[in-house]
Amino acid sequence: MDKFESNIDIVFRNGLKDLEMLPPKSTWDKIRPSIKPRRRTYAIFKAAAIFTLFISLGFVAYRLIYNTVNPDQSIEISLLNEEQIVASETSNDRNSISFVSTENQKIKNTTNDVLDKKKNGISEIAEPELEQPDLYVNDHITKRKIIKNVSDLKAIQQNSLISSSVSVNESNSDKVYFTESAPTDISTKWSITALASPALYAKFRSTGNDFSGQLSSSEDIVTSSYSGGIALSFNVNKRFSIQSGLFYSAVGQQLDGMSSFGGFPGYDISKGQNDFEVITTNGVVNTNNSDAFVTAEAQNNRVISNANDVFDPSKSDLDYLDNSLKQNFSYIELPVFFRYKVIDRIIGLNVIGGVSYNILMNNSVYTEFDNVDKYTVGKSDGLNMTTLSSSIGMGMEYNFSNSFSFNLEPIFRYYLNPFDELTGSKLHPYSFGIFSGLSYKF
Amino acid sequence: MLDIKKIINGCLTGNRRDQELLYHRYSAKLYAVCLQYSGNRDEAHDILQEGFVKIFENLANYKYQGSFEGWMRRITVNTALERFRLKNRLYMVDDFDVVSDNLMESYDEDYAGLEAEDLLKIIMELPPKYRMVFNLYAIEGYSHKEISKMINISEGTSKSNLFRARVILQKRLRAYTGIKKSISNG
Repeated sequence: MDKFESNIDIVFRNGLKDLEMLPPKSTWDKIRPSIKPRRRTYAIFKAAAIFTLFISLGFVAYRLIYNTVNPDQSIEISLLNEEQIVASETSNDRNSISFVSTENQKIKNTTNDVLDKKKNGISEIAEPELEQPDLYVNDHITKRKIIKNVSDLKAIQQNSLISSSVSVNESNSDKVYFTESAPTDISTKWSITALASPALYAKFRSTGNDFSGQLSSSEDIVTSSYSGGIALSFNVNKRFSIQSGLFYSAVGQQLDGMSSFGGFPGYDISKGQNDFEVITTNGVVNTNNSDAFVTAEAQNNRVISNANDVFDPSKSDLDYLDNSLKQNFSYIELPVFFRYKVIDRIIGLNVIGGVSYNILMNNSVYTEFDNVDKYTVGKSDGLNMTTLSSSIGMGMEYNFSNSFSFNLEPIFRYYLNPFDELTGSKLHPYSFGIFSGLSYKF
Repeated sequence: MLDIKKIINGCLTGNRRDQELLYHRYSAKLYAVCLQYSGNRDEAHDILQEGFVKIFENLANYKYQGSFEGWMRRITVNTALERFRLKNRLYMVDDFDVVSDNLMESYDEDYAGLEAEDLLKIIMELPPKYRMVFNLYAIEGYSHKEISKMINISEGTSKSNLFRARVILQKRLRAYTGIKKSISNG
């Protein structure tokens, strides 16, 4: 059998292995249209996206690196004359004057002696190059003048329509490096900003108040809170601005350890009234929903019921809803903030501080069932209709065009008065949020 | 290998010239495979077309592991199998007019004088079911277990079909060569 198997199989296997037969001539013409062209668009887009990302990152990195301010060396210069010679002064212990020609020329470094020789141009090259410096010059040409000493420089600076900040970083004794900054154009006095932020709220326990400590329970969990609005700023000067606006904020708190039930009206006649008071750190929750029955866990003495009898919901036909209540407050905020521009570059840095006047607009207490539907229980009483809060923070501003900028501002807020004082507590909430938004300057 | 790599890369970028080059380089060999499986030229032509379209569609999946010709051959064979799965139900055939199961034949004939085209012609004359099993077992080297999964038949049917294919082929070979055989009962 083995010989039988191998013999005839081998004959055909060996005989056919190198066989070639020409197909009909028209076969390729029928195959070719069926070959789908390779889709390269995805690869192209991917490549373009990666390229753009690298270019953007490189641009941002370059800006960050070359816009570093050396406070010991920073000076202000003016942009002058049709030949667009920019003059600057180095540090005080040196008499050398460096200047830059901003029209198709590079930054130079020279001494006083060389200054006269350089009237018509600059011969040496230093780094880094100015980036499109003629943008700053062309719009603000004053008059021609050759700077020979510091007094001239300052005089011209005072008379110039625009001054640009130039930071000077001294690297060695022979060269001085300049970096060009985005000038603050004080003709744009106003800006309008849209900002929004999620906020993290917490309570600050006031000392010497035991009751505050009792109420500031670990069962209270801050739920999602947020804030957002429109701000209007006025530039008092190049660095200082005042901001106001209109903001909306929402604060939420979850009270655990409190079970809520529905279907109580059938029992309220025999069991008395169905008003419940729940003592919280943010007011007293009064149930205004006659269908609701609220009870607390044994160790939780927050719930004060006005019912005469002790009612056990487990022995009645009530619908269990949830084991927590949720408080929600919303405010309209009227802030007044002051901004000081620490860094005035393409990417700027501000210090922000101010106060807000907050008006309570809405408060509600609800519970959730099936994690989806809201069941209104009542509202919190005893809340202060207005509160005052102070804020402090930093702001990063990326000026991606002359009129628009992107803002990122982490802000810490402390409430100067608590949300409520009914319970005798002195709990001052505070929050932290990172605001992001867009500004438009006009 | 470098040459074929260059052609493959050209095909992947949609270069029509490279695609045509690839076709012309391997079409003759693959057409012979199609004839081997099909039994007639029209069907072989269809299998070749479908097979090449699949080859171009799946070219990016070739990872340069193993022979490229072997990779294309497998795609072509699978294309042929697909057609026959759709057209035929491959099951054990009781073909009593051929040879008794008890017969064992041994051969000491020399088939060296047969041309490859003769062998192709003989195999094309086989019934489709036998031809498929014989091609997969004897030419491609699959086991009966693998064949049974590929064409949805039992292993026993695969063995039976193979046996009958060999018997038929033997008869055809003898007819072509005119060589006497010796038969022994086993």
